[in-house]
Amino acid sequence: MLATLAGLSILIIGDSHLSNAGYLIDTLHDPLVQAGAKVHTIGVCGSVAGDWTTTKQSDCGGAERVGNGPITFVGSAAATRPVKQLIAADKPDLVVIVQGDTMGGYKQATYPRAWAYQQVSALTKDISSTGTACVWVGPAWGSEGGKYGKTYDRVKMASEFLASNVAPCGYVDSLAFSKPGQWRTVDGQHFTTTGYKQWGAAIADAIAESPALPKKK
Amino acid sequence: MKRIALLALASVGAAAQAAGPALYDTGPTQDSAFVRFVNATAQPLEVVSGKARLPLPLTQPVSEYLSVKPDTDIGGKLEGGGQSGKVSVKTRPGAFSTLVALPGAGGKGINTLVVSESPDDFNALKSAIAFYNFDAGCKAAGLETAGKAVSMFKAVAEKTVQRRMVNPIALAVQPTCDGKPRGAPVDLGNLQAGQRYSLLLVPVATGESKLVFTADAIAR
Repeated sequence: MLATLAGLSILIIGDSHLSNAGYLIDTLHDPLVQAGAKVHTIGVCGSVAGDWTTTKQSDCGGAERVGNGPITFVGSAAATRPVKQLIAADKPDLVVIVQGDTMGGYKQATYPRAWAYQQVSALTKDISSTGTACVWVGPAWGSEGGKYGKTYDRVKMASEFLASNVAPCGYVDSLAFSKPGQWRTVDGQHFTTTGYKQWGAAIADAIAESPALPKKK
Repeated sequence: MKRIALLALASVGAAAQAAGPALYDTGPTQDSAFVRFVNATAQPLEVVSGKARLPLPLTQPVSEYLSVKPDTDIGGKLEGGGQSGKVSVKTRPGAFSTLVALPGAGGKGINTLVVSESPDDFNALKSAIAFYNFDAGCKAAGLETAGKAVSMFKAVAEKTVQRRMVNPIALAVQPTCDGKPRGAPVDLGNLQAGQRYSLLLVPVATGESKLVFTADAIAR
């Protein structure tokens, strides 16, 4: 099923969902490696899309992993790097962006559309200027409440916004992979290991079938 | 020693997994607000605010959108050609304000007008075109495709804006006033998907009007 990924070089960047053991830095990274892709994952906790056009320090750590190697936890030194520099260094066939929950405005009365537009368009413009294919993974349901104040209505709104605004990147609608609340979380937003396994496997399948996937040389 | 350090790092990761990461923001406390400046006079201008100076030459009369603190007065002045005008603009969260500098009455001073839009139609698969009417001589401005005269905007009152999504195609447009052509048509070239554009109808000294065309850009 993941045969289309064999031989591809894939750069994955994103937020805290990529920053801990048992998160997508394992459960998405691993199936892509097993499919024969060369994978480099960088997770910076709390990062938002526009942070990947520059260097921005994180308040809550980060992690990095290359191929079958172990996760390197970066701790207080965690910072985003400009995606154009990462692309120049890695020369990936595909960039995968995992961003959504840090941009949901879950505790605000209204969804911050103008800000989200600024963030998303800045990143997609930088990636598309390099001619690199990209896929954007949107937020999953999580569970309502918790310390982030996530709600199903707001995550649906955030996902719909991303679906309409990440082109030319393809969009992976994570809400389609489960029912609201189906995958258990530890804090409303971050899943248990079981949830991350299901989410990672579903994302890998979706990437393999994405029309945005580059054609093999 | 190295092994102890590695074990310590592993335990940090395991602890974070059990409790989730440290709390972080999921967006700003308020939506962003933006302001841009347009020079619709016949001379180069500068926006002066405190120590900051923003040039608005005739070759590039529209600035990028600058991020500003929402609901806060942005004050300053416009200077150029021995004339000056006042800058005062306050922008709501989620809004994009356009401040246009126009020649003052009798060619004296610089008048300023501000129009804001609060778009909710962001879409990277379409092109978004806004039509602003800053022309006091045209109470009901319109815009139609050049040649085929297909209406795109109708009855846009002075100091207002309308915006619509269009397919990313090659387009040339003709402004109208009370349904009659006014000013010269403008070739917009090939519109790009995901790009937002503005067309601003402004008066010119001869009592006519002209369209200022720009691709909307946010300063980084």
